[in-house]
Amino acid sequence: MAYSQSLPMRDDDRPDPPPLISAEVESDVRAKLSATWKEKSGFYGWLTSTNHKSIAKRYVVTAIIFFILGGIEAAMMRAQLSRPENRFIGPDLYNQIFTMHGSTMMFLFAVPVMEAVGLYLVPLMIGTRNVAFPRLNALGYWMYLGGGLLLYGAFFLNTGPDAGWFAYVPLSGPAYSPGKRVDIWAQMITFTEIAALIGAVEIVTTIFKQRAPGMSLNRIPLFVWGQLITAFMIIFALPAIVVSSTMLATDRLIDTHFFNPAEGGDALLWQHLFWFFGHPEVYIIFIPALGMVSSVVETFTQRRIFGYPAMILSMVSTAFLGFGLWVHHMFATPLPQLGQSFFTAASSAISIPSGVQIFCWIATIWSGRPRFTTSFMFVIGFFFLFIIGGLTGVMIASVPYDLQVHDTFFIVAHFHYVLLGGAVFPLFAGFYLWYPKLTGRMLSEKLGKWNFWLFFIGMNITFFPMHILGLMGMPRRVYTYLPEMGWGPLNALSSFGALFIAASALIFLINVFKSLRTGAPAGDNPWNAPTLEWATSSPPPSYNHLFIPVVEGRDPIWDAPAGELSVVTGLRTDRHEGLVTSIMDAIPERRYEFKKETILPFLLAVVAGSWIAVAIFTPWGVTIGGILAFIILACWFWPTISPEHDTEVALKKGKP
Amino acid sequence: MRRRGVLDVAMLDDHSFGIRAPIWWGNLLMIFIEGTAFALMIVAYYYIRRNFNTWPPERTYLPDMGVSTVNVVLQLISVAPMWYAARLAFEHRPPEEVGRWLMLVIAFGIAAIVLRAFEFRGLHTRYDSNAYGSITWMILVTHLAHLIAGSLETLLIALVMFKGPVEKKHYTDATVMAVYWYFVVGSWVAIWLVVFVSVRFI
Repeated sequence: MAYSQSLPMRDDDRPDPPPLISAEVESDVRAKLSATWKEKSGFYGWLTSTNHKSIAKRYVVTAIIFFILGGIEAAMMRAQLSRPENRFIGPDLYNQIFTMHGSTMMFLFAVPVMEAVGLYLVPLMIGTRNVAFPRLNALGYWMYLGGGLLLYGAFFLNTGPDAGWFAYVPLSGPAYSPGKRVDIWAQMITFTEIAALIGAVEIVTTIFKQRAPGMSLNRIPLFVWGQLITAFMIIFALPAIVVSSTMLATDRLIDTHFFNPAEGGDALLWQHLFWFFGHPEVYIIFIPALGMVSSVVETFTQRRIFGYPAMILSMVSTAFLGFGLWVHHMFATPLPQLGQSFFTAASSAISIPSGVQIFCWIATIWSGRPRFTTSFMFVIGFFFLFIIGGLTGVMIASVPYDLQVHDTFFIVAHFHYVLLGGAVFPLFAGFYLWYPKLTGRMLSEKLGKWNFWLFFIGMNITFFPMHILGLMGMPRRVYTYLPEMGWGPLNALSSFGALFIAASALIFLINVFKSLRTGAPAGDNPWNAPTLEWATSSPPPSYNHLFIPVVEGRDPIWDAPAGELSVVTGLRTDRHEGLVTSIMDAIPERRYEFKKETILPFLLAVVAGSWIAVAIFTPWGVTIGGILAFIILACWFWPTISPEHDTEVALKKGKP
Repeated sequence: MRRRGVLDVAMLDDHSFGIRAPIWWGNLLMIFIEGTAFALMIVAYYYIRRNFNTWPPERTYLPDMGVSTVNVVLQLISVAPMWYAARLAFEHRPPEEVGRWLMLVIAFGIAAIVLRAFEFRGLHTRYDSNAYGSITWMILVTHLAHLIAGSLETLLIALVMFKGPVEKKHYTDATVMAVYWYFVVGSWVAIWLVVFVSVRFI
């Protein structure tokens, strides 16, 4: 490999390569690392864990539970709309259900699950032992869980938000949404935004500073690139919803006038701020999925990905363009035409990087040896569905067309093709690819094919008719319609398709649980995949890699000569120690001690979380919660001297 | 898979400053997040401006320049002891020395917080008067939260320096804290230019 020569440690001039590490040394290191990194058992151990894999796994499981809840809400909506003048669900509950469905899928499923997969895989793929700030990572999960519990607790008390997942003012303002429903939504946002931002900071710092030696920027796996770019998007997009949801909450609680036109406020300010977050949000879901697709394509064609630099540049430009599109959600508002044209151009332009990537994948498949496993089938499904969603996206980027279909089922059809096709299909593909790594067992391919085909067919039966319904004028978010409108048959068809999706989801769950017990053992690298997560056992031990790998090419496992891995030695095994490397070339800079497990993140989430909930009723919640949170944070940061700490030279001994 | 040890890192230090320290990056990303939030609030400030004929709105006095300008000067001066404390930390000087300079920064922080109370009074509007009042209060309250958080964090590091046990990594924390403090001060200069200066010209 041309680029493997840039690394001094495997220079060809070197006369003799260092000897292989003996089996005795390996088992000795393994025993020591296992003891040092052993996670506490029992419920308390579960609450205190700071291992990125434990946290990411519960993140994934929680997100899937929310996915199922959101899916049940979707099924209820389809049941209600299956025939005209249906009496299954009344208008009030219907409003809550579509709001819950959207909020759940966006805030509690899609964004968290994408980050969670990253939090699991990134440290394994870049060859480190944990994320940069393990305790903060635990806090992120608990905050996310708190947000979900708040939302669903309120929903089951008939206080579910009912103003739509983007909560437009004035409908969501104090005048038209009295009661606490919208406040629940706004505070759920507070929880999930904290969690998402924490995840993003973790991912960026970990990727910047903890890559295995030799993993320079041009050798980072595309999945990790996708996670990095997404994390930056989260960092710059989420502040918009922080600001806007705070404004909404104060408008409702302490009579500020941000969105009150009578006092100089502005309803469109909400739309601008919300979509400045909301549109990048779509790419925050989509770009990690692109990374997953690259991993799957590379693995199941057994060929290096075609056009690696073009792929990265496409993801980066998608991310940049993603911040310049938000106004296309607002074409039906009185905006200057010049502005609208700009956003039309930007919205259409985004099809260019998307197209580049799709052609790169096609080239990879074309010149590789594709194996049509379930995982790969989901990627093929992704191409098909995402291209349809992309085409309708180009259509609605045009202002006159958008004005016709705005707020109709055409839009619903479009974004379900994009989101299900563009994010959920790759997620399934990734799940089938990495499940063996997570659990040590293979998923059933037979059930997997059923899973895929039912989902694919059901998805098209459910959502394709919605395009036509939209063109026939059926608006979104109506709980029923009259028989004379002629929307009955297509709605019935759409609801029929939802049955396929439900069956597919059921088969997926059966497959997951059955394979957990009876699946074929996976071994370290069942697919002969190229990236580092496959260089350790399945499931990975708590310390990830026995030795930190040294990377000599873009596909470390394929590049390693005859099953031989170059590794780092000399890290301490008696404490949680990892390696910090430089940003560009991943040259080792220092050793780094990871914080150990503690109950504090959980406590902080409980205290801060309950006071955020109190802040729904009184602004004092913020004050008191802030004080309590600071006390816990002080404990968190207060230094403790313990035996494994000893090399961090204690400059001044405190009280023992 | 067999393994070949090609790189021994036992001799590497377990401590670093600046871009070599993960916490420095965590702090920088935090600044990106909060800086973006401030920027969006400033955008909202000018966005709301368009809904009024005059700015500040009719029957509202201009915000007082006096106290807020004093606060700008005060906070800019506070950068000096913070910079010096970080310098001492960087040079691994005795913890008490670092702690003493940090305490001076905290004194400035407390003064800035006290002045903030007068600044609110000098706005001559309330958060519930109109959208102008809402956005100016929001910006000032958010910055107040930063002042409080920054002072408390500095206090925590100062206490560690005095009470120990001090590890090398706490020196890194002190230098990172300095970066955050510069951000708090810098964002106040920007906010002052928007809320107290630009209001007179637009």
